Amino acid sequence: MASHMYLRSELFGQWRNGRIRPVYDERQSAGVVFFVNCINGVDGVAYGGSPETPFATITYAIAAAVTGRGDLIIVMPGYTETIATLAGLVVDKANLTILGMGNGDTRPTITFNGGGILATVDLDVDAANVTIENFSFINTEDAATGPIDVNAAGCSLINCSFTDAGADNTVDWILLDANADNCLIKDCVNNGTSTDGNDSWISVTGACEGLRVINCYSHGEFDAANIEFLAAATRFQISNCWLENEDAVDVNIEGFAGCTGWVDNCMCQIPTDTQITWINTMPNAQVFENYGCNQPGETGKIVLAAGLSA
Amino acid sequence: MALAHTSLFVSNQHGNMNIVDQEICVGRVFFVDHSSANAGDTAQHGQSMDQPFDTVAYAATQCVDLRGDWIALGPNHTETVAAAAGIGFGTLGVPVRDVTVFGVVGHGGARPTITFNGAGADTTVDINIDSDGITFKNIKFLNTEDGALAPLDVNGANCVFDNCVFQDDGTDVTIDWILNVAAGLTVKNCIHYGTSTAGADTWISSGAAAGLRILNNQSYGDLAVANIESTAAITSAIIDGNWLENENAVDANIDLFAASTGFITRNYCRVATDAQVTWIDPGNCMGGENYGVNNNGECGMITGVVSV
Repeated sequence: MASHMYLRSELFGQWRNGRIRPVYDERQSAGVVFFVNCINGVDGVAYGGSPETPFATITYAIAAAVTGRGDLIIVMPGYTETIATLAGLVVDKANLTILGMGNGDTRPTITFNGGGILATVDLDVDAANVTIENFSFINTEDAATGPIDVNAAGCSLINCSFTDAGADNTVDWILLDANADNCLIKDCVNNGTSTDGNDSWISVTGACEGLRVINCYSHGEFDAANIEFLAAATRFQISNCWLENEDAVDVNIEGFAGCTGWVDNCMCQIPTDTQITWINTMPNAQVFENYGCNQPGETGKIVLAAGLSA
Repeated sequence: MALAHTSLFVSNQHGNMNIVDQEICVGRVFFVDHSSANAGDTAQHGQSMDQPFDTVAYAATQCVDLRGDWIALGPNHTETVAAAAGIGFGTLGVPVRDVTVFGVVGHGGARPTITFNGAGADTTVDINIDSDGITFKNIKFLNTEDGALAPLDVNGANCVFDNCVFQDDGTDVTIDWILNVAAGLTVKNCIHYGTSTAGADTWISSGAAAGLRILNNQSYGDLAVANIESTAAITSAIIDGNWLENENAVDANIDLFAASTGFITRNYCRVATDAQVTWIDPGNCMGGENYGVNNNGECGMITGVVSV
């Protein structure tokens, strides 16, 4: 009896014109994959299709992507790019993922620097369902007003860091307008300055719905709060975050009248002893098992943002 | 333009065909398995599990800075570190940033094992991590050198230990398993099996460093300082979701330097002496929902002074 040929993989190389072509797993990637490396890449039509022949810039890769196809841009470790203008980088292709490789400081780094005169330098996310993962964002433009500007639905920022360089302030790092429904900000780190002049890490400027901020760390001196709502956002979820605000405003999450959603399992720290305003203006939100601390070295107490249910 | 519909690429390394998922690894993959009859530390080895390198020590020298290389260890791989810097990443002054060393397939006892043994004479046996972005996954570290000072010496930023085991053999004591002076050290999903024998100081000892992350680990030992200590101020730290047990009468699980900042949250702590409530010295960190127990069979109480 003939023996079976057992297979260890559902992945197959394809032999075409004397070469083994890339291996396809359509379950994982329905779109096209582009590679970007500023060290050895070239922005040209013959490039971008493999790690050995990458594009040089993310901007060129975005232009090569097709909206809605589910394309993936893989950005190599050590990639650096400086954004020096308003809309210096625009992600305008729907269903696009931009994935950085590397760990910590070897991740692709996007620096915002307007030459000391342009505080509006920013990256615009203008298409739906864009994911940006594993990037380091650094602001060296003091008082930059909103480096990450999300204006479309279903976008995700995953495992990214947002760092203020030295004493350079970022007024609001991430702006979410009314179109930014169902935004996901997950596993991110915000290392803000201890210098006065920041408002927030995340500023919800429009009445979007379904924002989720999960498993993030934020530190800074924020005149408003680590996370602020300037409009009646709905169905938001802020879970499992560590929020530290050095500013005497003594607020970590500032709500807005009429906003609805959930805040749970967050650890909140403010600088002024006896203040208990960690989570503020949340009359219509559900608040569960958040702890607040107002003195270095102390243990948090349960935050009762709007009184205990009875 | 040549379009690729996948992140999976065939790479030809010395006549071997490997398929690499570029979403995970954009660099070269080197294979290491001392248990293979075909293993060898030459340029003709290391390109497949059929003809792997013999040691991680050699594989580390083949990695290239910032290429995103991986070193894959067979589940039965064993290697002994017998001297200071027995394995080095960037130790010779040539950086090899962004290297991942991971154990393939093996879980539990089938993990690749790296043993520290200075033949009873050299307690400085260690792996030196001098480059940034070095990651270890799914590896068992075993110490058989009684009084080993610091088997894992972390000097490069953003080093990660994920799903690793740190075990003292019998009564062989490890003074400090991980000695860190660099920013961004992450230790997560790991298990530390120390001895019940006095002589150890800590599992993790850190100097001044920013962004330390110690998440979801289990640590046990007779530790004269604590399971986790900082000898200088750490900043922006998160120590969350750990199970920490110390058999030593010092009765401390986390002992941080006075000016340390960050968060110590959701840890379960156990000390040896009934009525002692010294589980955590937080420095200036915020505590939250940490529980401490000081007698067998008891329920933990909230640790620390609660804000008012």
